[in-house]
Amino acid sequence: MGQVLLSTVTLRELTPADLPAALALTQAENWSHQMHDWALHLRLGHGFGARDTDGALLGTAIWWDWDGRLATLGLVVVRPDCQGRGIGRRLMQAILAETGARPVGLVATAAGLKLYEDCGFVAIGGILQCQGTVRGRASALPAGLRLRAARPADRSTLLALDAAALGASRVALLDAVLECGLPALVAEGEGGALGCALLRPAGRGVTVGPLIAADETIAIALADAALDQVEGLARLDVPATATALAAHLESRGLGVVDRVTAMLRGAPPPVRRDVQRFGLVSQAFG
Amino acid sequence: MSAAPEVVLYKSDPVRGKVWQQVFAATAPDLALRIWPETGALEEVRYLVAWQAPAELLASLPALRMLISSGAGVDQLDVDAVPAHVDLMRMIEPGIIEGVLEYGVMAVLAAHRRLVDYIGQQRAQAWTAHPLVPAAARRVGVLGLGVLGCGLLERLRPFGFQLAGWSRRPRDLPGVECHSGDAALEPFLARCDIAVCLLPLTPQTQGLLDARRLAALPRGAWLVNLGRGAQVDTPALLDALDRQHLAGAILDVVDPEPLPAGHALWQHPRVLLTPHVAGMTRPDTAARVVIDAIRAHRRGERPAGLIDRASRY
Repeated sequence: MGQVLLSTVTLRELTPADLPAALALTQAENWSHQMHDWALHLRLGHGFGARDTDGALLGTAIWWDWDGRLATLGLVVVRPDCQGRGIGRRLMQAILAETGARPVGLVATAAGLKLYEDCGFVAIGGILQCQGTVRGRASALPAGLRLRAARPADRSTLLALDAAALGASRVALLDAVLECGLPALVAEGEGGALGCALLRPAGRGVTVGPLIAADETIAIALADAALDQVEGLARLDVPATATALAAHLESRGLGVVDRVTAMLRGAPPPVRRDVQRFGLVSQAFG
Repeated sequence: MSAAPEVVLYKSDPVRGKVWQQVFAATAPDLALRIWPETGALEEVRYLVAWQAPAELLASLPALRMLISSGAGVDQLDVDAVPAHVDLMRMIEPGIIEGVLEYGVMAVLAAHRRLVDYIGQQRAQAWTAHPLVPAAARRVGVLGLGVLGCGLLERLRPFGFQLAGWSRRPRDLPGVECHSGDAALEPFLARCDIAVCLLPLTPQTQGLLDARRLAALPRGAWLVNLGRGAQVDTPALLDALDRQHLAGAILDVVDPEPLPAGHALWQHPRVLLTPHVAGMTRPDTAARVVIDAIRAHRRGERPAGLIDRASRY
């Protein structure tokens, strides 16, 4: 492989035809993405691929518009032998030209921090990637809390919970998660819905997210019940401040395998204070 | 059609606004859509579509009749700032779920009522009636008890079918015979006259419905696939159909998609095939939902999604 010069690299829209090459890029980084993960992320977003003169894919980046109020970006990957040549920066510029005035969120690996800071992103918190083979069973529920499987009629409640915690509505994303074939859970108290947990096949296992709850105790109960629905490998990406949740996940077999940084560019959209996000759909989606 | 069009102000994402403008222009000459910040005369605005509506904006719209939240809820709105005479509505877009459930009910009923046979007979100009099997004698099984699987079983209950479900982990559903785990899969399939696949695509479900599992279905059974094409071993399915072990298949998903020209599934007389449309949504759906809602409101009806101001939902 000869030296790739930045001046000969072209950016083009990422299409489904690029998926096999894109999957190879994340596999080279040992990311857990499978073809179905890539397909879902690309289908819901808009991305760019950097190519050399032969058309080979050297790097990717995708962004998602959440109802015009928030953008998230992710799957920023550059082939190992082409890193450090400004390809990631060009991809970021192309994305940020499209996101416009929206605030933009992302989750950064240590390797990407510098690039994102240069692009105007500020660290806003840590994210713990909790992952492992599920063991044990859910503990008893806190008094007054009920958990049940979500029904189709709960869709608007789930959408509203997610929108309230994020500050933007993600209809297409939640629909895609809800129709994946795995259950979703709703937590209820006296006054109605207090949280929800959605499950989705991701990587070689199942990711629990979004995990939305009024408080961490409810988040733990929801995560606990969600893990009872998983056989084998499960994953949650939780805020680093949710230490009790992370400790509980550890007791269910999901140790912290990585710690990454949530970053934001621009002013965050207003969120409701009575519910919080305790689990991401994916690091890319947020 | 001499009345001046009713003015609708849209204050949300401008990119989506462009799509809305096209839909309104093409289908709603009775409504004039204005995209923020090009509001025109504010006193003409009768309907407002917005994610957030600050009190100052509301105060500048004296003729406002209804505020439509562009989100699925109204939690982001300061409901108390909305004058009492202004109706409040949240958007209810029919999502993927409703589409898949609708298709699932259709497919089960089509299998139950031998629709594929009658389509073939119509083409052959054959007036032949087949005996009707009562729903109570028909065993319907759903593979995958996620939101969709449970939802479909719920929708099928009123017809009186014998309902069962299979999932990887144990589940408990009222009125449904629940099976779980790999060992229970074949016994479950053996009691399915109509089997509907709504499983997630995972490494464990890839190729799950292979020759052995398809053979576990009773003779004359129907397979409905609304999961993913890769969950079914297509050559094994074609073989089971050709041997008349299976009566037919209704497939909304196949592998690969799109199905290549000349593939055996296209022409198979026992296969009803649709191009992955069960849960299709379109970017212009929201605009159409709002047009219908505004028209209903103008007729004095209560559009779906109208909020009871006391309870907020």
